[in-house]
Amino acid sequence: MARAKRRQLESKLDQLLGEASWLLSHAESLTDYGRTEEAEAELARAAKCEEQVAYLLDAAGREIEAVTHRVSAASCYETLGQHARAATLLRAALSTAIPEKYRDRLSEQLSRLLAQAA
Amino acid sequence: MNTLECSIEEIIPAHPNLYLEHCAVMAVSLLSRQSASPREFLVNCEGIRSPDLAGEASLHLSLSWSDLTAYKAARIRQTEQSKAIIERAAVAMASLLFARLIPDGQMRVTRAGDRADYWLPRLKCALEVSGTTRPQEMARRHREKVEQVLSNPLGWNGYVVVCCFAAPQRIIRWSFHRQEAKADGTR
Repeated sequence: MARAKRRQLESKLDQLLGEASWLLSHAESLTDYGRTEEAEAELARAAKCEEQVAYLLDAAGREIEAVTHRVSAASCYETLGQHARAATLLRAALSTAIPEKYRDRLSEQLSRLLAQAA
Repeated sequence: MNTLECSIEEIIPAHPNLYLEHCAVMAVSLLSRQSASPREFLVNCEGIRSPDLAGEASLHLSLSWSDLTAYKAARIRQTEQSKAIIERAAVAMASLLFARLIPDGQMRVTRAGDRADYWLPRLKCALEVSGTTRPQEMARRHREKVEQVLSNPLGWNGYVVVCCFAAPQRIIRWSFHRQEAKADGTR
């Protein structure tokens, strides 16, 4: 990847990583305060942001980091009751070479989600 | 032993990628039950390299807060579960330590299932945080968190912060752990 394009990607990544983190922590605070609807809206924004982050991390060759953000997005969708979307993201995460203990955790999360489909 | 004087509100601008206002309020909600600002903590450091520590293994942290934060904290107390307050208060204390003592210690968060994972991306470190009001819990919590932080999927080194908010023994145990230390069983 050309240097200028790489710099542009890193800059965009940095911005989105920060945004995703802020949205997640803000959603958490809204949940703490019992502001459920607002928390869910913020969580939905966080999930979309995390998916975009995962895509850009993949493009930057940072695949393991991409997995953590894909899992973060899946966790948001799971909380929002969007189980199909969450399961798809977890499947994508599991298709990457990841440490065994982490794989076990994700597999457990996926099984829990799939059990809800019945 | 050095004394570090801080205000809880410092954590808000120090970590622009986290919404920490509610953590600051939760910390004050917990501490102001015991008495007014400021409150003292003993911070025990293990493996922490900071220019401001000057080689010391412990420091006193004197924490103050504003009247506005105290007002918001008073409203919280009536509505929140204790466990959530303690957890958020611990995050606030961890944020403060990194803001004041570790250069490039800005924090970020992701989710994994129903838990939050904290990261220090500029340092390429993971972070585990825990809070309790029971001093006898600290050792067990610390062991669990060390195990968790070194199991992070990125294989990064890790920091652990365990806070005890019990008066008068307000203690913070703050430690750094390397991945290779875990592999050969030594620290």
